[in-house]
Amino acid sequence: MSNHLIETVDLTKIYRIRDIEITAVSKVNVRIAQNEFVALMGPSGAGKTTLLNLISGLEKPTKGSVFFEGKDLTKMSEADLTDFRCRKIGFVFQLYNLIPVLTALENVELPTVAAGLPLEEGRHKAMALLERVGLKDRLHNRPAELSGGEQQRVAIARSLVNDPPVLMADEPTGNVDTETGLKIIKLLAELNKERGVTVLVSTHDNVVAEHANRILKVRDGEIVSDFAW
Amino acid sequence: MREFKKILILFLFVCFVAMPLSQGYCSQEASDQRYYFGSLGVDPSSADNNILVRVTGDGNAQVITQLHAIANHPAGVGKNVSILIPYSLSDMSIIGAQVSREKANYTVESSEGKTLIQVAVPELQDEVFLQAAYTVSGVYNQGKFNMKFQLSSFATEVSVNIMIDDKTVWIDRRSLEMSPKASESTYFFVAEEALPFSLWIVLSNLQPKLIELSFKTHEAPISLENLPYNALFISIIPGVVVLMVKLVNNLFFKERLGVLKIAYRNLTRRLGRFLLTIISVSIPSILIVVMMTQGVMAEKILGPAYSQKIEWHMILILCITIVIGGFQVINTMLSSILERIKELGVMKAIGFSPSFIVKMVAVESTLIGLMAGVVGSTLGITSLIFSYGPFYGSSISNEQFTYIMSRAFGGIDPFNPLNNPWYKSLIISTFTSMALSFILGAITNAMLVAGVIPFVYLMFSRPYDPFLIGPLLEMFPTIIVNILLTIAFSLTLSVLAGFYAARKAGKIKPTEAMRHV
Repeated sequence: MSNHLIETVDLTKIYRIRDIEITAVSKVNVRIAQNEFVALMGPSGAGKTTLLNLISGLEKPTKGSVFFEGKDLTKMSEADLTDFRCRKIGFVFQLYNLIPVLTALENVELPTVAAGLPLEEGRHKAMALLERVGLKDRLHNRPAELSGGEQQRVAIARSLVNDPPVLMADEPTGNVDTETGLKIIKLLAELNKERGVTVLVSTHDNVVAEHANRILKVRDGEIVSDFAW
Repeated sequence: MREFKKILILFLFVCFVAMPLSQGYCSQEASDQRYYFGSLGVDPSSADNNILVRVTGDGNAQVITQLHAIANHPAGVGKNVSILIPYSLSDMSIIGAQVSREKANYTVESSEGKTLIQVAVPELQDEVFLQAAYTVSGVYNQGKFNMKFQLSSFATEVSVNIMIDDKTVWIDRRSLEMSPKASESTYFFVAEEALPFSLWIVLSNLQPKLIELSFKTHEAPISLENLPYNALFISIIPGVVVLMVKLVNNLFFKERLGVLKIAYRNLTRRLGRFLLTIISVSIPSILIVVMMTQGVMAEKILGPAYSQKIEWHMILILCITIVIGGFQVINTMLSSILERIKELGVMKAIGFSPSFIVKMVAVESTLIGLMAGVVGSTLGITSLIFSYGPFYGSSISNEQFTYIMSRAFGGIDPFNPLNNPWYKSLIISTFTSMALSFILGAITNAMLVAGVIPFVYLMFSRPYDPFLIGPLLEMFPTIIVNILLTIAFSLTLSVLAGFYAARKAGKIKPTEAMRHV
């Protein structure tokens, strides 16, 4: 257990809408080691997003538990979970979810505020990361002034600014064209190698999966195949 | 430390340079006396066409009276009777009388230190106007000037204007619709530089009986000579506050982007939305402050006849306004916060704690409530002053209107901006403070100085009173209390609504919030 970064034990999530129970994730047991690039593949509604949300502590499981660096997320308080997300997980969303009124730089340095980092240090890190993702000359543009690919790169920079060990990307290429999507995936792969950050990416795009070094196929809330190379 | 130095230099500059400089301009000699005219109307249907004007002054005041009578000829325009009788109260001698065209009789009596002017129009005319002007001098160093009307007959309209430099700058409508037994005292402030000044008295539809005017001088309640420096001092306060805030900020908050700054940034980055929220939250404040103040203001400005008794239905209307306004505030606050629910969800997802979100939203709504309260009560009071001020009652000429507006808004005499030593002092103070602020690199301070000095000047240092500052000063405590109550109302509701929204925002699940588009 200890040599794995993330471990889930019988992870189950059941949504209850009135009388109907929908099992989004069913008894998932998965171990993810440091520095892996994991692709969660499966059709829409397979439970990829729910699985990511459970692992990152955004949602509480109905049954089972998630261990992160040996700590049980299900036993953490809301405040501890917030702090955990702040320091340990970087999020990249399908719809970028940047704050529209803030510039790219301000968006990227926002998590450092939550982490309580000094302003200068946060700015410095944010600028370095934006330069790394190739947006050096777009620092002071707002999200609306950026293309989809650029916005997603800002989101990637934002997710990494607190140096989290894990980056979770939920359909990062879902809203951009194939070429841009490929660039983003390549960027994620590079960051995975450079910074040693563990990447979990959910997708139903085979091209994306080609860059991963492990593919988890998800269907009806269960992991149907686990393939690594 | 640099800010401390800046404040110190600014302070020393004001004390030793700007103040003495403006002092020199303020203590200039008063200009020569001038003559002004008003009109006295006589009821033509009255058989007795005599008007007695009794003018008295105390030992300090020297009053020169000029009478100018015009009797309109029944035949029509251009056939006026003009008679001019200038004479001085001090020596009681008639300087001269000019009679043109038609005849009119004038007699002047003196008894017990009082002067009686009697104007008799022997033949009945369509309309008879009397123009009377009193040039008052010899009351230097007196800040307060008292004038008493005693009307022994029924008058429907009495108004008094003080004219300085040929322009009307002060209007009092308090004496409107005085009763036959009315004995109304009014007062106004006259600065040393404004002397000599003149009164322009208009009495129309008046049964020709006795009008008594007495001029009394009083001790100055405020030392008006010092006002430009007060203005200067007050005007640098915002600048000093800005510098202090910067200083504190640099000392304590430079390291971190705190919740205050984030909340402030959230508001200012959505300036349009923010202003819209402020305006809609401020509308109930406008209504409430107007409802609370208008009865008092009507009584103070228009006289006791206009006093509105507080009746139960007034209180009911106020309560309804408060309830409706309250719901509007809550609704606006909630929608302005809940429309950002996705953004708040994202912030929670990337690691902002619920307590941070709650604090941030609470700070935002507090700022909105505070600003809306200030904006709303200011707008409300301003609109009240306007509606009871120069636009009330009998008409004013275009010239007078232009003049009043220019005085009120620019603080500068459009006809001769440098005529008045006060303006010179003001301009000197403003520009020296601005220049100094620029030298110190405090551009915000310089802008504040430029903006605030004329404002403070207008508020506190005027010998002119176009907006009825005299009677308004009397009810100043009421206005302040009402404004504070209104701000408290706006603030309380916004904070309550803000906390409700903040709690909701704190509780939202990021995954659900982010599903909002």
